[in-house]
Amino acid sequence: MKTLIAIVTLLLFVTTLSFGQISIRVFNYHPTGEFGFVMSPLTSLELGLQGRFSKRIERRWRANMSLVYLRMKPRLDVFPVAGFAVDGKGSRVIPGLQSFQKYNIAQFIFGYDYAIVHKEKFNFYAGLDLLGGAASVDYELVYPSWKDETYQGGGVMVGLRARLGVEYAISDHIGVCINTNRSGFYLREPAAKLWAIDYGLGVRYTFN
Amino acid sequence: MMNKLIVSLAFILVMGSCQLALNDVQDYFPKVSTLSAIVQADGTVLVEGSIDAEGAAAIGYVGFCCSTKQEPKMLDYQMISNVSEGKFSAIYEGNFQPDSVYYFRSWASNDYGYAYGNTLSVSKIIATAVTPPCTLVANTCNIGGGQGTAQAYTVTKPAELSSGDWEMRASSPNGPMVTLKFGSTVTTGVFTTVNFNSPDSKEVFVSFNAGFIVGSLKAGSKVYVKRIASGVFDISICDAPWAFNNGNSDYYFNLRLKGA
Repeated sequence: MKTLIAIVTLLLFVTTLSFGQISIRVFNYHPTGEFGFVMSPLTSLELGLQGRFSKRIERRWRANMSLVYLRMKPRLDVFPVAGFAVDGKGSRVIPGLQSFQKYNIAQFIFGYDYAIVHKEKFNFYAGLDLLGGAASVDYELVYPSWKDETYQGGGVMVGLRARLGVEYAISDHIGVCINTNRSGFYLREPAAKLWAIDYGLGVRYTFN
Repeated sequence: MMNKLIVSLAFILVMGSCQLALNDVQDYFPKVSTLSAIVQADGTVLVEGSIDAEGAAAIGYVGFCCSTKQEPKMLDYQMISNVSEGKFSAIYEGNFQPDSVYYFRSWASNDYGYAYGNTLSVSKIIATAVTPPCTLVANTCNIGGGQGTAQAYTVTKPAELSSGDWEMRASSPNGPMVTLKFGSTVTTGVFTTVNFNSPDSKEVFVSFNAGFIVGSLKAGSKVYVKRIASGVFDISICDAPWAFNNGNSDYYFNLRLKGA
């Protein structure tokens, strides 16, 4: 059933997207919540296929499909962490150290935009995307003489992304946009719920 | 139905991602200060600290560490404390070398990590000498004045009562049973007797019974307490007056207890 839904969804995209429509977006990515405590903001690129809002008033929807790669950098070289141990030596608060060597995320994104305000050249739109992808993570987490929870590996992720933006059509072929996204995703291994905001500037080019 | 689902998902995303990261990563961690490290009369060190900021999560644990190194680490002679109105304290007792310098540092942890406070140094940690004016034989008592006669006292460790007072009892097969009720923790120092059963800090109510004789010391006498080790004390009372059957004639009470 899940496979069927996925195939139908992709077919819907194929019918609304063509490889004659490309987009590139540069954005400033801000992790929030606990993700924002650990990782620094960064600038990255989003490359994709993006439909255009039709000049005809009845067509306010457009589809998007894109790829994002995020090479996260930790905010500290070493994070001071504390654990609580109760053992034969009594109760102790044990200091530990956590350092990230790698936290890379690749995301495949597809979704729709809806033009709330739809003019010939100007569109104010909201969008919602599904995120899928994977992360590659290496970190050291050591409590000296107590335990070592160092990790190397990674896992798949799923999530959602919501968006508000404005687009101005410079010509029939070129549109520029400014938008902001809020995303949340679940990383299966090492398990984490990650949240982020981004602000970006993009260009869409339609060949035909 | 679809619109509601989309709006709900968008709402979850907006709310979930709205906790923006703090500009300074150090603001996630607690901020603590080591306020004081004071040598007590009994040779222990009372260390006090304060929480200056919780950080981005509630405080998990607070405490102190102590070492002869200038920057003690969390596990060095660690003491875990409780926070009360932003302050916390601990008493370090025992085995300080008088010719060494000791460094005390506070620390606190929350869900994000831990942080240290400033370090305070203390040198010459030694108990203040408490010298009673009389020298009595250990574990003896005399309720009629002079050198103690009744011997072989068994002394209980100070026990905290529900009233907050601390009580010690001394019993002997051939002497009066003596009860010392302190109004505060029993430490090295000079306590003053009171003639009622609810002493305040640094006061003590001393009562005894020997057969049909029941009495208590008059107010104003000195009780000399010297802490030897944890729960072990050398206590002297020299010629402290008490009145038999509330009469006019004073009798004099001498006691020395050593041990627990």
